[in-house]
Amino acid sequence: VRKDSKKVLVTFGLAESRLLEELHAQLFLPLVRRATWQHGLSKEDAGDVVQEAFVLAIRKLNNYDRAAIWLRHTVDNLCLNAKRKQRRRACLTAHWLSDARSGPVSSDSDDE
Amino acid sequence: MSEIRSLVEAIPRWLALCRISTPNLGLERNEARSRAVLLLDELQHGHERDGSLKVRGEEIDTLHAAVELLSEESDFSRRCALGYPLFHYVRVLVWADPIGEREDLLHAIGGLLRRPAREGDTQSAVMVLELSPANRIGRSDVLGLERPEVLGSIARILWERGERNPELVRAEAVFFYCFLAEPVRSIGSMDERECCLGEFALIAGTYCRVLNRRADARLWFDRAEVNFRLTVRIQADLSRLAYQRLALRAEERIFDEVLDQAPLLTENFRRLGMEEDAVKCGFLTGLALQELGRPAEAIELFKEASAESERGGYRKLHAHAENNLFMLYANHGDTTLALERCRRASAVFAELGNRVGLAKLRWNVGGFLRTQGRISEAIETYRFALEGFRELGMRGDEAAVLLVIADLLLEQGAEAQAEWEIRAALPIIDEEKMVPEGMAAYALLRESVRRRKIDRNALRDVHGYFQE
Repeated sequence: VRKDSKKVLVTFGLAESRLLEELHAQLFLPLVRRATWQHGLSKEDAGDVVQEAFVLAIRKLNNYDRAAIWLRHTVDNLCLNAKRKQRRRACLTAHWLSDARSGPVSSDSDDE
Repeated sequence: MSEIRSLVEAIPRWLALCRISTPNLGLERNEARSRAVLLLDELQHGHERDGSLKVRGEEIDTLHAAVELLSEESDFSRRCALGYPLFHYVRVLVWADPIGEREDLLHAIGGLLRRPAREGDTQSAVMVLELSPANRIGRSDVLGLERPEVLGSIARILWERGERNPELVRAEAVFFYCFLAEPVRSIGSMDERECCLGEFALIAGTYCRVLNRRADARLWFDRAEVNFRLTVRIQADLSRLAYQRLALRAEERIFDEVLDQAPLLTENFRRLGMEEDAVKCGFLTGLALQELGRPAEAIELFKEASAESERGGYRKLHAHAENNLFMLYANHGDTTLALERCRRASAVFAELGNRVGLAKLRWNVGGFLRTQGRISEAIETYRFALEGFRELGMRGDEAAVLLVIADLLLEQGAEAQAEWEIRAALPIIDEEKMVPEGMAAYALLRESVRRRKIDRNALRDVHGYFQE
């Protein structure tokens, strides 16, 4: 176990776990809606992003009084990352497709 | 150990509560849009909806979808007909709202309903701008200076004229800001006054930045922020402000920060549907890449920006992209491509009457001739650019070009002439309180001129702080 993981495990006790459960119940759907309608993600991607934000909260959230604001900002940032990834993936797919159309790829390059 | 054990024991319970494998994600997008069509129709035809009922998650999805449909409605009168009932409906709804969703919805609807008010009355705006400031004040009623449509059009015209005459546009923006700020005037029915104040402060700040008056630019950007924060279209306006602040960072050569923040801001503009601003923000990334020694990436980025701005009809941006490509190709030694880009940029700048763009292009042409070893022609071209900057009141750029000319004259062995150029530049640097970061080099240069033996390294160091 790495040092920071150890610290997370020790500091994240039962009380925090209960608080996070409550936050999850309150905020999960509103945050999914935010990711869907304000950032234009699909519902599935929005759900993944919000789950990721809660996983980050376990490791990084210190001040539970400001948890809603923290989670909202985190979801916003994760949505931007997700959209960037989507765009990059679309570019690469288009690039690979054009390569595939222009000629067969040798098995050597596949192995690489 | 007991704490770790308790955490480990809590994990299955936590997972069960989260239902990670089958989370409820609310209403599907298409379903929400179908329901939103019905909702908007009912609201428009005055069907009573019980707003005091507690709203469920699915209904909030429908409200978001309704806003999305509203944003897609291009006919402004129909958008208003659909939007006002929706606005009043959302305002009275009750639901547990831990992340401020209702405010976001109201802001979005408010923004969609009042955005075209800025397009307003161009004819009156042109008339107002033809009068001198002293003639406007006493006739503000007749001229409609307290009508948001006129003020919005004035702001739009000032943005368009900015690169033809930045000093005049800055002065006009300051005039209209002061006119609205004191005494407090009642403009429009919502937040139009704050919106106009923010807009004029942003224009004043932008053209202070163009004119190299960075301290003033910061002051105006702060004023713009204070006013924009009171408006409903806060996200869009603060993003435009963030762009200007980032451009200021680029001019201060803090490129790491620019490279870090510009892509996020570009993304933000795209999310808000502000494509032109997104393209413009991409320029900052290109500039930072170029300055950080990554020209190949910068070329790719500017090529993309040039194509995108041409497609979108953003002609000024297209010309600026071509100008940047010209410089990049010239530095790369690719003369044919460079000249082609230069020709394109020049044609568009001339057509638009963009004097700032033309002066900067001439500066770049001077640099290109210098790399070709055509020193005399380079000096001539720099002088041409110098004239342009003088006419435009761009004192910082004027001083920078004077120093470059001095450097070239030293290269030709014309030390006395070089000293003359430096002596012309020094008062401007003093007066405008420029190069605080290059104070040591500046002091060396000043001292070397006093001794009449110019320190060329100091000259180049000082010039380095001017370069954008």
